[in-house]
Amino acid sequence: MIRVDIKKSLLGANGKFDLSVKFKIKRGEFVSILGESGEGKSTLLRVIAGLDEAFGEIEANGEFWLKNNRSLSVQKRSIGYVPQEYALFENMSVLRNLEYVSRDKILIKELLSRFGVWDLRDRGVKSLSGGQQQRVAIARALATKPKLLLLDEPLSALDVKRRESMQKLILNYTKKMNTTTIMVTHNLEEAYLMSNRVYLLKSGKLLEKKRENIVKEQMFINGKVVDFTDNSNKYDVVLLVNNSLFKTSFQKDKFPNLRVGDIIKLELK
Amino acid sequence: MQIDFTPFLLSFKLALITTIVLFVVALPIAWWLSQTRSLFKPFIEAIGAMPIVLPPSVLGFYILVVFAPNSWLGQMLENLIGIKLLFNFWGLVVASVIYSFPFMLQPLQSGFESLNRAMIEASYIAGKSKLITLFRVALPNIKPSLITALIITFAHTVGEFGVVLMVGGSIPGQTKVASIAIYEMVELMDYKTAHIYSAIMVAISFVVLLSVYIFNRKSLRVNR
Repeated sequence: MIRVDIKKSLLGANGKFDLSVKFKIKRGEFVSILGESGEGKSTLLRVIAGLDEAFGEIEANGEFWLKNNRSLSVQKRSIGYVPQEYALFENMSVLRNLEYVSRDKILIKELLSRFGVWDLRDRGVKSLSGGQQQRVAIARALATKPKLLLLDEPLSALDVKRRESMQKLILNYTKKMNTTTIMVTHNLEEAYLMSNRVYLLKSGKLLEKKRENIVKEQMFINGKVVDFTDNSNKYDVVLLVNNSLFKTSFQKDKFPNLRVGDIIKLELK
Repeated sequence: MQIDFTPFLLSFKLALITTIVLFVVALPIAWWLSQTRSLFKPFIEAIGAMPIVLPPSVLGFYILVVFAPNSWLGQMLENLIGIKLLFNFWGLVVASVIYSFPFMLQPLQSGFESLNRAMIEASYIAGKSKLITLFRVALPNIKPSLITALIITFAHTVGEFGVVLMVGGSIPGQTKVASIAIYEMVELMDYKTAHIYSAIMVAISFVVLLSVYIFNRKSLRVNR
């Protein structure tokens, strides 16, 4: 079990705010943290890892990692951490990156093979694409069989197909190793598919969302007005939705001050 | 004409020993300075950079004062290990270590400071100690800075003159390094030998510096 109850003062885009977070996770649970940029999601992971300071308590499997301003060193926490910038060792090949953190050669080979990067094992990590680096970073974090895995936007550089297979692989391994996982993500779909529980970090507070509650009953899509022409009592509008352009028309009285760049909420039925 | 290469050999011996000693001394300080948020950091940095600003004669003067046979430290060294540091080779080593300190410290420190911090953190997270992280992750990732620090320290020590003259004098085979030998030739108006010695120094310095720049260019390309 992991219990976190911490406070930290942060500087956000709108000035100072307090990150004040309290939660408990059972052993082996997979939890996602959603939230806008700059809400302190990454900082929260860094505090749990012991890389940033904070006030309060962190207890993991009966051991205090943080209490009365005394902090257990990062080295002793036995965690896996995949930061947004991957943090691969640039002086080492893909294989050496994993061998540096783990002696389990069988697991290393299995992870690299299943993550589709075994053939790149002798390459320097700087020559890899962002997506490849990301997969190596996740493999490296899992190679230590961590008790706690911290993932910061771990699949952001992957295409849709690879993303789906990686989601399954990560879940497989964390289940097999009975690893507790905290994942920070922007991606609702990922949070929904992978987690037992979902939290929303907003204005420094963590709100628990039932997994089902992030699914809304009505379906809305945002469209951006790219161009429009005035056509007597209606507008003919070109909308950007999901990276595609659509043509439609609206009654003029519904949008008296329509301008290029406006975001329009469309309900799907 | 017979050229006496002893001053050159002495210069290189001095530079080699100074470089090795300084690497051992400056490495932990550079690493600490790059990682710390301590209030003492600017003080240590200022002290570390002093030899760049101070005239060599000031350094030489203080070294003479501190290590003089009748000084506290000079007496202790002589009583304890029977060494007189002034006007012998080991005095030159001590003087050179002080004089060339910033040339080792600063490239290492700026190399460590430009390192991707996340890489260091990843090593800690994997349970590796600070020492292992320093040697297996930090140092290998600042190779150009490391090579610059070693070569510039070496070259700077070869190029020493003022401090060496004050602390070591000009004892043949002991403290008469190349720069001092050239000075003596000029004093004696032996311009021919002075020319030869100087030309050798110019050539060696150029080759050393050229090799640093070629190496750094190569390692930049590899990393791209």
